[in-house]
Amino acid sequence: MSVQVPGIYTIEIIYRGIHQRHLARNLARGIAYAARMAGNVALSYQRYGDDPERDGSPAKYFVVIAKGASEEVLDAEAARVEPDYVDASIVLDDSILKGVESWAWQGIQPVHLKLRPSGLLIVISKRNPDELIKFIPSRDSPYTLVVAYGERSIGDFWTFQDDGTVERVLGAIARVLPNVLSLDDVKKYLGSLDKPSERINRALEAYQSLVKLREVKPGEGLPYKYEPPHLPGWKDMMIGAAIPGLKPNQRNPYFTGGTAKHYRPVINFDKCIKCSLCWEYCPDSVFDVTPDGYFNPALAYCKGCGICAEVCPVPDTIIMVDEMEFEDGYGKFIDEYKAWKESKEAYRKWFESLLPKAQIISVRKR
Amino acid sequence: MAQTEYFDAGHRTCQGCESAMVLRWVAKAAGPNTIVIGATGCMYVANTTYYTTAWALPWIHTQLSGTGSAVVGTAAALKALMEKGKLPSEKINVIGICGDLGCADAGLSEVSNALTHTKYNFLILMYDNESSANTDIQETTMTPFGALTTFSPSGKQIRIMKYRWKKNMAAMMAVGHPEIKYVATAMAADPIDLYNKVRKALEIGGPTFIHTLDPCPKGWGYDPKYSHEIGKLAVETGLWPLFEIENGKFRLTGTSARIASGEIKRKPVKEYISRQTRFKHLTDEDIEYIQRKVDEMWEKWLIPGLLPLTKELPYPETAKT
Repeated sequence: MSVQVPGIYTIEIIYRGIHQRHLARNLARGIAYAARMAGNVALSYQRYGDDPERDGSPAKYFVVIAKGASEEVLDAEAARVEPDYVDASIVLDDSILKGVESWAWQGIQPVHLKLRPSGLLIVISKRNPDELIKFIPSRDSPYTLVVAYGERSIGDFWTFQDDGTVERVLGAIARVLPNVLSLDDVKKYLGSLDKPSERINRALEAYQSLVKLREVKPGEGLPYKYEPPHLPGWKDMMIGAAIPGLKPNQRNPYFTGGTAKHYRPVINFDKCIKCSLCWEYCPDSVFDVTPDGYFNPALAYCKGCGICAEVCPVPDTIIMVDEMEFEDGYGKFIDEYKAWKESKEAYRKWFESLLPKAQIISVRKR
Repeated sequence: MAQTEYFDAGHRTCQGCESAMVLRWVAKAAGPNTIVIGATGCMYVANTTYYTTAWALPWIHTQLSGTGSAVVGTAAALKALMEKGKLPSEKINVIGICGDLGCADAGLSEVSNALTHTKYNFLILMYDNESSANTDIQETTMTPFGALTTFSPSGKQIRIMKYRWKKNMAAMMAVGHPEIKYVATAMAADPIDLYNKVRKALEIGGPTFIHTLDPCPKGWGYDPKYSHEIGKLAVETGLWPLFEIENGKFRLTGTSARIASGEIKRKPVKEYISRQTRFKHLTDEDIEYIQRKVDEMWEKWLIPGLLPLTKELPYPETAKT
């Protein structure tokens, strides 16, 4: 636990690895530059220096802003892998609200684990706070949920899709954290970039339209108990840093990787011809072969790449649907095959209701 | 085909990772009596997620360039222990898995040395995603012409930083180690072909080598759902010939064999290149240059994808294939 120095604000940016890394970097830099232009000291850093982040996995950037403090105080504050507490969390993809499972953590963390009591959780989403609160675990302390209205920004991999998300977030910060960055500071920073008027307008738009605030009381939200991981000390480690292996056909119980998805496969078992291509081509071996020869995805392990829907030869059999359409999460997912077995009619209706929302529909192109 | 998984879910790879699929199928083909040796690379970090693993096979991590030595050492130790009667005499597969940096760059001398040890049975598998994908996409000798990496960014003055042609690794291993009994190229987009090649390599005995091309959504820049399509395009455009050399006998397999026999036509390389953002800065002349090089490989080389000696060279008839 660090000594709390008054006037130091820490902001955390949670984003999807690779899809949003340029967006997150530009945003973290933007906040730091804007704060520096306003006469503060500020810096931003990524959790991992050499970027071993994975496609889709939740990753983090941090920004530390010190008002009236010296560079030395700031350096001391930032000289750690990640801060103990943050004043605001910015979530760039609303499906990350379903939990964060990063590589050195065992188990699924709530997205607001690091948030200080009465902190701000800023989410880029097209949904209302009341819809989003269903996915966020309850806490002992209150916080404020802020929704900055916007499309989930999935940038290109080597190029940054400049869709205004950075400006919108800066506008939102100016609205809800005026003591950290005022609107004038944001305007000053955006004015120094190319296309200044366009950028300032976007920030102003977010600043003015930001009414989707919701005070979240203690105990509100999803009942989910987060247990801190047991990290083995050097005495617990096996000789030679050996790792206990798995049995054949056993999935790794400590790391599932399922929080890396923003789309999930939903399977129409009525149409399935049992060709096994989804099972064959899945890089994460998530398909269980059922006794009657169907293929049932273990959604806790699915990373949502969409290959199964892409290789499936029968149209409308595997569809990829936005993760936010489903209320399950935190490691526990519905068993699609079981649901279909129990009531085929209800499953068919459910599937048909999801069809218009599907992102990828299985139709083999070649 | 075995349904049992020896490399199962719960690894930290990207969405749509083809290297993970290669490992899954290699483990499936090799079966339970296998020791896997992995060099540092994205697959090493992904498969040992902080004190947990996705392997159901004994697996060790060697440093970046140590695959060759570790594989020979393991195979030799197993042989010696069996000869002394300290281990029951049975077939144990030894597979060394290394990425393109750990095999073609840093580990080349040791891999090459290992392949001369004809007394021992092992397979060295090189999974090639054409960059050091673990540490934010750095250039390796396997990075193709023109590709963007963090070491070869495209600038205003110089458009193409990576101007050197990709090394022909499988051919080098086949031609440079005359006693090696099995060398093959494969890819995850054709898993059955990969499965068969791994089985062949493990059964034939002696040192063997398989080179797989693994599309990498992180480094190549495409939507993860297209992994297999990109992989298949690499074969269909002729950039990645699938072949195997079994006891000195060369044979093109799968789509490549059909291209060579004239059954299907090669697609233009533009179809493959335009799908990936790592090539987004290439102009039409650059793509034409790549097309010319690929055409040359198929039309002029003694063996497409393998022997860069051209047919115009006076070459003894007996030495062909």
